[in-house]
Amino acid sequence: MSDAFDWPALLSRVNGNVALARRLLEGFFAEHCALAEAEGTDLRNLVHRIGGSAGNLALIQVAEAARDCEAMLVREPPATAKHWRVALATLQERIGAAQAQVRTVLAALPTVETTTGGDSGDVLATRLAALLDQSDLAALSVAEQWWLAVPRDAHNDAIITAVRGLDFSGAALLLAGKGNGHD
Amino acid sequence: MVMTDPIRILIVDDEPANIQILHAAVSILGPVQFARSGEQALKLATANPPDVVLLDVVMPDLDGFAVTRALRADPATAGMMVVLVSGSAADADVERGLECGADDFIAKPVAPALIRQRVRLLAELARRRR
Repeated sequence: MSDAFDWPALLSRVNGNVALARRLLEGFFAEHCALAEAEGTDLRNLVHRIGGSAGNLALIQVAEAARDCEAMLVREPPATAKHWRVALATLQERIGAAQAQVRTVLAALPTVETTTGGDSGDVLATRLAALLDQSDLAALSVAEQWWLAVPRDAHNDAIITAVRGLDFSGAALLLAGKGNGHD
Repeated sequence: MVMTDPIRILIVDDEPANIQILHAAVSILGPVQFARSGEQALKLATANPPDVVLLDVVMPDLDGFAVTRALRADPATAGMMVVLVSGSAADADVERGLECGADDFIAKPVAPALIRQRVRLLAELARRRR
């Protein structure tokens, strides 16, 4: 695992929800690719936001570069334009590198079926149990999505029984602690 | 300590990704509201008072320090537990936050288990005070 991106750390922060992690990462890169277009106060706010989000998204090197940029704002004497250009270029470069690594990590994720497919309660319960047996955060995330999506009616007793009492969040954290096979 | 009562939480951050990360960490504790600005946070805190506010420090317009002071100045919101959540945990920032009336200070990136535990403890403390 490179230091640029800590996928297990991000997964543990979103309780193993791979879909959410993917959305957050895609949103981050979509929003923060245009660093060079901001300036002045906008740039200061943008750098701060990038630092905070990158830290939470486990984009470690991006967060470090953003912190370095922010530190320049309070340094005495004030940073020169040349220093700023170097710092911003480093930040931009690290965003690009992190984006490439994130793409690689996401592309390597195992394919898991994300729909319940209209199966009966008994079949779904079996499939849910199989997913949970994989001890994999991606599978756990799908199981949780199913659990949330399945209507609570009399026909779903088998599913409800299959997952009753299971603390998905706690299970995700446990799995994250063990590693998930993607790194 | 086991707390079974839901804890009402207000998350305030101008960055949607940070809101979602915090939401993932604390949503199992109880109902969660969101605000993306200090002004919106003050309106929500008055209209639908939370037990605990998780408040970003650096935001455009009204920052976390100003929001904390405003919450403390209003008798209707003065008793809420306020946790400042910041990318900078420098001593000066923590000191300023506590001077403004914050109950706690947590650095980003957030550790989900830690923030849940802090929220539980603060909510329990608030309930004992009442």
